[in-house]
Amino acid sequence: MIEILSYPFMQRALIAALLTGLIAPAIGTYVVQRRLSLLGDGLGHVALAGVGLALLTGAAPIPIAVAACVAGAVVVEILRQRGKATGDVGLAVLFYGGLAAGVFLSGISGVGAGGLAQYLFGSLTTVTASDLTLIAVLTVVILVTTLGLAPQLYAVSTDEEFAHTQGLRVRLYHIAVVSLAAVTVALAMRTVGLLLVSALMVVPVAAARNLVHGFAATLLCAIGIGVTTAVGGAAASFYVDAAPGAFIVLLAIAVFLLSWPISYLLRRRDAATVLPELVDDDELITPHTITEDHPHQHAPGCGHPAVQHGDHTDFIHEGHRHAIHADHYDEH
Amino acid sequence: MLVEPQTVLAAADLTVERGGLPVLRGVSISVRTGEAVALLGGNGSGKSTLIRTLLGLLPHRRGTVTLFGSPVRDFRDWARIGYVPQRSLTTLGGSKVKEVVAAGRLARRRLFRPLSRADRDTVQKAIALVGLSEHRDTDVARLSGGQQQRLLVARALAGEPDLLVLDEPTSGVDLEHQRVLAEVLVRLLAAGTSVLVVLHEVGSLAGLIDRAVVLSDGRIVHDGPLGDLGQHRHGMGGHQHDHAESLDDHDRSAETLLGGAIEP
Repeated sequence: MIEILSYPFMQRALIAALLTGLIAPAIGTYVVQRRLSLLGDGLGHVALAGVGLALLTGAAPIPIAVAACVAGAVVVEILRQRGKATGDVGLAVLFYGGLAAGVFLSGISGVGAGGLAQYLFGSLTTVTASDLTLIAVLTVVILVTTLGLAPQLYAVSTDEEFAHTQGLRVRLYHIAVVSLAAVTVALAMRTVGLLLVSALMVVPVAAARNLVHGFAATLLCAIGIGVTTAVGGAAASFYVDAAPGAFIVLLAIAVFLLSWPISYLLRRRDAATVLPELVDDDELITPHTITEDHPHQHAPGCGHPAVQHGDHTDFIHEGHRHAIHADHYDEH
Repeated sequence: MLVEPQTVLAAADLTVERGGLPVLRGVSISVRTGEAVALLGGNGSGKSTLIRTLLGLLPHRRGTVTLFGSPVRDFRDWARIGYVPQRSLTTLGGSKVKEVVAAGRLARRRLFRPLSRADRDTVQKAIALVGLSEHRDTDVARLSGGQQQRLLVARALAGEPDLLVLDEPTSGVDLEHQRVLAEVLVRLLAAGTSVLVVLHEVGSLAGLIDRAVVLSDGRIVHDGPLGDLGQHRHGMGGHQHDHAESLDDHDRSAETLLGGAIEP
């Protein structure tokens, strides 16, 4: 670990990976909640048009890509809000238009479509100091918004109409979310690349949803997974000489795959400790079946597993449950 | 001196179109302070459309909507309104109960400020009022349908509203949940809250309804006491008597009510 930190290009690469790992899941949590998981992918194509334009004009690619991406995201969102983008057709036209424009413009510029490859797949190790400054500034903006406005963004992305009746400017918040997603995508073209950034917005969130309960916990857990896999993947790719973007995404997917069996185990543990509530269906009272003569005295720690059953405790006894009732036990 | 009760919600000559077809035609409706109004009608009669237009969620082509004295377009005092949408329309899975209910405080919160202690206390109280205290940290997806319905009521109550608007809060939930809901509404009405509730059938809430408005094919065909529709009217304690029996009664009378509503 010390060794790779001695290379300035690796220092920049690791910081860029860290920042991407922070912001992609932070904004991704809201994008996934709105069921726009593939938005990032589409915006990646639009960002390519920006890169093509930058190659043609000789400008720095990141600012132009950010601008193109935000413009594309806002257009798509407004079309969606007005009900114009019925079906996926409108979006597809915009996204593939972006891809075609990127290839076309880079062709005219003389660089050729090959020049786009480093943006498609990321090029962590060529991140410059000025790239890093821009990424850092936008990271602050994205984190302040996604964490500071979490209650508002949560409300508009889970229940639009209710958020409206709370006086929230729902459309404005939606535009803010897609714009921030667009910025994230454009920034990530230097780290994991445009084709893979959508994965870093979605996969850590999907894994976090399996591992923890609640929206706030999901947001924080997703950021944790994002940072860990991004930095871990970037560092590991240095040693095995692999493409860092691909490594990062594969790591995130590995975490996601692992989250399935873990969530299964967590669920089983939960289910074993609390049985379904009785409180809510008083009408359905457990039939009163008294156990046969039962000399054993159940008590916490008597050796029979105790489970909470609504308002009382049952003791699991040879495949059935005993509940203390007056001087005898009931079968539950 | 007799003071005219204040009107919290009023709509006049409302016409709403969806997809080019008129869904509401010349509808006028009002709710006064402390009043419980039931909005009744069959499927497709425009009940939900009316509720959502009154809240400014859908645009109207003609007519006026006034909330607490100001036109719905200019209305800003959203903390005074608590909306309980239809359960099927929400996508809250993955959230904890207390997170969902806390969203009901948003109209009273300022940007970039964390939840205050007072906010937290109000959220806890709203959860307790609908009997979900044990489920504060439960994932919404793991609640039963009736519990989810009560959760949506708690979220609306967390904002301490003066007007509660509920869209079919009793559909598809069992008697126990309906009883809890009726009790909560009785307490709110006693405290001076106004209630506008969309119902498919009057059912267990009949005892607390002051006035019924019946929609049929986008027009209002009745506006007056439930009793005028041949409904046996219960007192405020109507929800306390034996449930299995009274619900049957209500179901039958609700059918006559809706059947009769078609020919005003």
